[in-house]
This record gives sequence, C-alpha cells and structure tokens, in this order.
Amino acid sequence: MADRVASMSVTSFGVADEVSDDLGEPKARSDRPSRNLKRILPVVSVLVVLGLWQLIGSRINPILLSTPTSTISAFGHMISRGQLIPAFFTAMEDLWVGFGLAIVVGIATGVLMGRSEVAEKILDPYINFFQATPLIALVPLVVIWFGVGFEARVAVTFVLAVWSVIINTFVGVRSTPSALIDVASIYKLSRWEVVSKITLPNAVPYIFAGLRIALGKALIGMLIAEMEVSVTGLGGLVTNYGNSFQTAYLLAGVFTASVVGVIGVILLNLVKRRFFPWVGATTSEQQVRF
Amino acid sequence: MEAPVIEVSHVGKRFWQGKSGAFIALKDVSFNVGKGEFISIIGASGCGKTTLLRMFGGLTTYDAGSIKIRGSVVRGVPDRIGFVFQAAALLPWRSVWDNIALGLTAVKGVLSESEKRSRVDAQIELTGLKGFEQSLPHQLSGGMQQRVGLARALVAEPSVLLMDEPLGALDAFTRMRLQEELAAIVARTEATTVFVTHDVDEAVFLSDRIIVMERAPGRVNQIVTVPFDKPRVRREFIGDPKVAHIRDEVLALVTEELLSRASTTETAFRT
Repeated sequence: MADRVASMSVTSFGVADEVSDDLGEPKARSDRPSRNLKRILPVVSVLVVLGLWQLIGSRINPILLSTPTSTISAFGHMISRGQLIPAFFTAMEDLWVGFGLAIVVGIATGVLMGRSEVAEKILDPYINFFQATPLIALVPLVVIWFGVGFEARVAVTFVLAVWSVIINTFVGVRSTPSALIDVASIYKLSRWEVVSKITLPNAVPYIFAGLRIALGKALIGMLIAEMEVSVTGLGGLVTNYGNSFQTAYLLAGVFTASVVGVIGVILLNLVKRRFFPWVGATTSEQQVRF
Repeated sequence: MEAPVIEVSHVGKRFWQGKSGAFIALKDVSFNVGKGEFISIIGASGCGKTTLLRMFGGLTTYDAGSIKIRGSVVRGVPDRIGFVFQAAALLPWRSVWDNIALGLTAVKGVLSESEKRSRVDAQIELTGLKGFEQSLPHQLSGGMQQRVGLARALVAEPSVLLMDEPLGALDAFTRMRLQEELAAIVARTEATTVFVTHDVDEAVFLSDRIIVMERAPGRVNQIVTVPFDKPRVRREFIGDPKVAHIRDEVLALVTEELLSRASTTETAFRT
C-alpha cells in the first residue's frame, strides 16, 4: 500500500542553491548575477506570456481566446453585477464542507485501518476499487441519491477527496517506528493514548501530504458538481458563460476558481506551520542512527 | 541476605524463521540481580542481550524458564520499571519537558498536577537539561537527547532501570562524559540497573558485575565481578592495574568467543 502515497514532501531540498555560495570558490562570485536572474525569470516569463496573449487575443475572434485586459474588465463587471462574490462563497462553502468531511472521515478511517489489521483487510478491497474507479462516473448516481442541491455537491467533493486522506493517514500510522510503540508499552499508554500521543502525531506529515492531493481532487469535485449537478457557484458561472460564448467572463470565473484553490493551499500551510512546527524536522531516530 | 530483585532461571527463547527452522536466541540463561546492583550484559551481536533486556521490560516474551521481578513472574510490562532505549526514542513532536512527562503516564491519577510538575523539573535539573525544557528533540545533540531518554525513564522513580545500549550511538567524548554522569545519577536513585552494552570499558567502569554472553545459541558465558567501590573516578580508575586486569579478562572472554566463531556464518539478529 505504501507505494500509493504520492508526493511525500516531508523534507525540503530547496536550500541547495543558497548553500553553494558558502564554498567561497571564485565560481561563486560569477554565480551571483545568474542568481538574481533566476529570481526575476518567473516574473519575466509571466509578463511575456500575458503580453503575447494580449497581442494574439486582440487579433483573433474574442470567442476563441479573449485578452487579459477584457478578462480583467469582465472580472470587474461580474463583481459590480453582484455575480462573482456570491458564486465565490458558494464555491468555498461546497469545497470546505466536502473537503472538511473528507478530512474527518479520511483520518478516522485511516487510523482505524492503521491500528487494526482486521479493519485493514476488510476495507482494503474498497480502497483499491475506488482508487482505480473514475469517480466522476458516479455523479449521476449522486444526483439520484442526493438530488441537485448543496448535499449532492458536497457528496461529489467528498467522494473525490476522501481516498487520498485515508491512504496517507493509514501509511503514516503504520510507519510509526517500533521504538515509539515500545515506549508506549513501557509507559502503559492506553489504546486511545497510543493513537492520540504516538501514532496520530507520527502520521501528521503524511496526512498533510495527503491533504494537498485531496484538496486538488476536492476542487475538481466541487467544480464538476457546480457545473453538472446544480449549475451554481463558480462552476455554474463558467458553464453559463461558456454556453453563451462569453470567453472573457468564462476565464474570469476560471481564475477565481484558481484563487479558491490557492487560498486552500495557503490555509493548509498556515495550519501546518502554526500547529505542527515539527513537521519536516528530523526525528531523533534519523539523527542518531547511522 | 535480601531477596534478589530480578531472578532469571533457565530462560530460553527461539525465533521461527521460515524453512530454516528455529533460531535459538537464548538458551538456559540463569542469574540473579540484587537490590541496588548495577549489572552490565555484554556480548557480540546476536548473543541475545537486547532480547533478554526486552524480556525484563515485558516487551518480548520468553518460551522457557522464568523471569521474576520483585518476586512476581514477568507477564507484560512490570510496574515501576524505567527503560532507556538505544536511540533515545523521543517523540519528535513533543518538547523536552513533555517527553519527560510521558514517563509519568502510568502513575497519573496518583500524582497531583503540581507534584507531577515538580518531579519533571527535578529530573531536568538532575540530568542537566535546564534551559532546554521547551526545545524539540531534533534541536538537541545525540547526547542531550539521551539525557532526555534517561530523565523520562527516571521520572516515575522506578526501582528497576533497564538500559539498552543508551550511549552506543554517541561519539567517544560525549560517551565518556555521559558514563560518569550516568553513574552518579543512577547511584542517587538507588535503582537496580541492567545495562546492555558492547563496550568493555563502559561495562567495567559502570558495573558491579558483568554478564558476558556468547551467541548461537545466546547463553551466559561467565559472570565477572568488578569489586571496586563507587563512586568511581575515571582518572584513578583507568590507571589501576587491578581494573586493567578485569578489563583484559572481560575482553578476552568476548574476543575469544568471537575468534573461535570467526569462520561460522555471521548472524544478523538484533543485538
């Protein structure tokens, strides 16, 4: 099961180019301008692409591409018409209720599977099945069960997101070093204390890696549900403007959906840094053993 | 004479490993440990010394003989024991203070919150961790981490202290300094101590008796007494020819066994 955990960004190797300067070799000095260049390259890249988009977009049919400037003005129009803000909040609500449920249910299930081999054996076939199934195909079934309202959108969001949370929590709980389990035995921790004080904290880095993946999937679920189930929120805006060939408005909706995603990532990182500052730090095991 | 605190009689243990059949980890191991005694178990990798220590702590079962601690047969983790693990085994997400307080889990309810706090503070003082209470384990050196491991084991005031190569992963200088501190701290607690090590000098410096083990099957080769008063001062201790004699004796026992078995296949079991 371990091979199914994607993107374990527990340790960061991003310091490499900062460190190279300390070597003090003449080469380091000639690196300096290129380092500044590296820093502004992303900005330059984005500006160039926006410029090209403006150039090309203003020369072809606006239905095909539109331009950055008209996308921005569409954005302004949608706000002043009172369309975008409510749609944004609908999207946020759909996303966070669905994703929130996925977090709670996913962690609980993952812990259960991690602590009990019986639970693991019972649940494993379903986890495998749903991991492999294109869950979007279940949307019509969700509509049959839940109708076309808020509950259905939450259900789609939840169903897409929950599996990554379950699997990463499970692997995190299972990866608890045996020495820490020994510690729990020696100090006579109760079954609940073993989970709350040892295995669950041990799983936190894995859980956050899973939440990053699950957030992406929840975003997709939320948008699909708003496009296909209710035609509301940001997904609804995108669908409607697409159907009426108003590309600038459609793109403004898409970019607002990106903002929803970016806010989600920022929130996850804030929670991680505020409440779990030790995530990513070397554990005593790794430091002392060789 | 007082009854021994730990009584080991004819203890045996085998591990089953697939087709190759059973590996005999321990065979007919017997010895006693008296109250307040400091004994070391020494031997090459695979002699079962850690397995034996884990049995005292109730972490591993045995399938022959009996182990008694304070008169009662060990089944599960005994009360009032402290265990110091090889690589400290601290919880990376807890501060030094909270890691030490974990040692009081088994006696919570008995102690009031303020008693608990003063116990942890006292351990921090005793193990030289003052000023590091709020540090996280990864911010500490290996030696400091092992001090936390020791404080956690001592905070519940155990009458039996079990240590599994606690200094094994440290550099030579840190190791020597911690040996002295360890001796002083343990002497103050008056706990009966079993100390697993693969370092002959360490065993001689710390112990009242040294149990030298052989491997394949793991068994007691000889028990060597170190008849010198404590506290011991390293500088005087090292120069003493009588100490050197004992050291050579233990070293000979360990290496003789190693040499005689040099041709046999290397066993790859946890020590």
